[in-house]
Amino acid sequence: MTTSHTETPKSTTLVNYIELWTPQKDCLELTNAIAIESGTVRSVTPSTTSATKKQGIAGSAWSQESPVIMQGSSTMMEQVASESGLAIHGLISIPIFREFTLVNVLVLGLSDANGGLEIWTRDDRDELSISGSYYAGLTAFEFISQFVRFPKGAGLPGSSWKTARPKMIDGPDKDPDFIRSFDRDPAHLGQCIGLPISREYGFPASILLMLSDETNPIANSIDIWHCESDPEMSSVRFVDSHSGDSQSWMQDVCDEVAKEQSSVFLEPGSQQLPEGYNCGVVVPFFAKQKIEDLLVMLF
Amino acid sequence: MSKQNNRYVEIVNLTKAYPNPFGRDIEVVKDFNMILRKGEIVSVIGHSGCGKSTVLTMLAGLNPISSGELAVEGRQVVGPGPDRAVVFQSPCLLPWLTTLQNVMLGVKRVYPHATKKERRQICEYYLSLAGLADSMNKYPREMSGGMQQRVGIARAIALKPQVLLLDEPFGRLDSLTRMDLQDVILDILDREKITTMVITHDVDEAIYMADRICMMTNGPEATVGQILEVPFARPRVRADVLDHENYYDFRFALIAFLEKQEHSKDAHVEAVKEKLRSSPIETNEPEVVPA
Repeated sequence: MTTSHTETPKSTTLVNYIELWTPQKDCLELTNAIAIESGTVRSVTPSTTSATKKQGIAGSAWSQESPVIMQGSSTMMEQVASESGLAIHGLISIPIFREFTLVNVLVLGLSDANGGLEIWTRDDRDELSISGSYYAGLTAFEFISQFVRFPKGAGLPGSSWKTARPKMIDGPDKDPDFIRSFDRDPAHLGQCIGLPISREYGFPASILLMLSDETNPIANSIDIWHCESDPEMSSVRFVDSHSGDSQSWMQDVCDEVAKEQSSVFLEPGSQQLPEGYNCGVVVPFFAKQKIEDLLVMLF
Repeated sequence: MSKQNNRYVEIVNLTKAYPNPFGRDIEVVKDFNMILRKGEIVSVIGHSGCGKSTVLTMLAGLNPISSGELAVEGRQVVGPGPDRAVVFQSPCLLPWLTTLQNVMLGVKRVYPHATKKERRQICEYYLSLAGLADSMNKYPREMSGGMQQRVGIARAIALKPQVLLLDEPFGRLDSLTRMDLQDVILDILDREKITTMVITHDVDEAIYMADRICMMTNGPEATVGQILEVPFARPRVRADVLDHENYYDFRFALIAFLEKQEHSKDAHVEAVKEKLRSSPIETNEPEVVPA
């Protein structure tokens, strides 16, 4: 079911569907759902708008306190595809915590673009190994990755674990922090992001890696902003960003996140959206109670 | 496997730093982390001078650590000991002693209560495992480099170490002898289940010998880049390993890692230099407070 249409002259992105869920008492409620396809952005009204713990992919992420990936054929994927009118090749749900408290679950649908998602979790050797994944156009990379382990500080997952902060890499073939090679695959990775997913700050249950092809980015614009929160958490000051961008609208978005203390959905027509973009989602990453980083995806 | 056997050798945030008269100490190895299970064989691979041997000598207790933790079977490593035997590139046999006498030297120290006959039997057993049953009374000058290295291996394993540390043990040998000795060691390790670390430059050797391969980044501040689990069954049969459908996937992963390290070497050195330049010089002199 669609309610609005807007043109966006952009390439196909890896993410083509977004749901934002917010906890309400003992369940999650769907606050936003949007589909992105062939330059159009449209709101979606799914039939399921609430989920208890363990229910659906959003409830599973809440229950497992870790991202959950779904691919292949499943009733849920078929339902999302049917309701959004999109071809959905995979789904991921990402729980966002502020020191023991769930603030949101972000559900992302994946297009047929090349790229990958990896969930890295700690094993009994204190090394990270893959516990869930989605790949497109990365066959050789997928094969070798199942045998790779990263200790704390090693590679992009180990680096995100060590700093307990999101980390973004552009051009992983040249970046020393991106260790694995993807030279034998059709996909040529362009953007790689490591996100520590932790209920308790400093002890990530898992590290989520989002890997996109050079020609099909994760989003039309994706960035990590570094912020400072005041001791009362009433304000969030934009400090700098991975991309180096620093514009006035960014502080407005920070103010909104500070007010909500949770993810913010920039709906089509929102005053906070920069020119050229039709929607977006801003996801906070907390250091204990304080917002330290924002993952910003614009479409 | 018990918890202790699961974490038989623990290397946590291991760092080796050397004094730098112009500023902060230079950390040649920094925050090196690795856990070895009991009986596991781990290859450590990386470019020359990256710090592979520094890690091995610290684990051997021959090189004091600057910070971090090193433990074998839950006991902190504080110095060299017979529980950790080392085989270096050169066996360094005592030229005035026979093969048997060279091995006997260590055996006497490790088995002080054994009878002379028992000690001799131990030496003969391990020398025969190393393929030297017919050369026990030969002097080093009468043996090839490969045979001398066999003595070095027998000498190390006769100590019944908990951990065997091999520092490029085949580096000076020709290809055929190298392959022969790899099989000798693997055969012994399959019998004795000794936890082993092998330092090597050779990607094929790393894959063939190890259960896991630790790839080290460039120094200074060298650390673990990634660890690769090698799924090939034991005992290893060279032809089967080489014919395995995924052998070249593993080989490619190692070579790609080494190539990337090679390409980023200069930038890495410059980054570390810049970090050292921007760090204040640490001195032990007391701060002068103006009167």
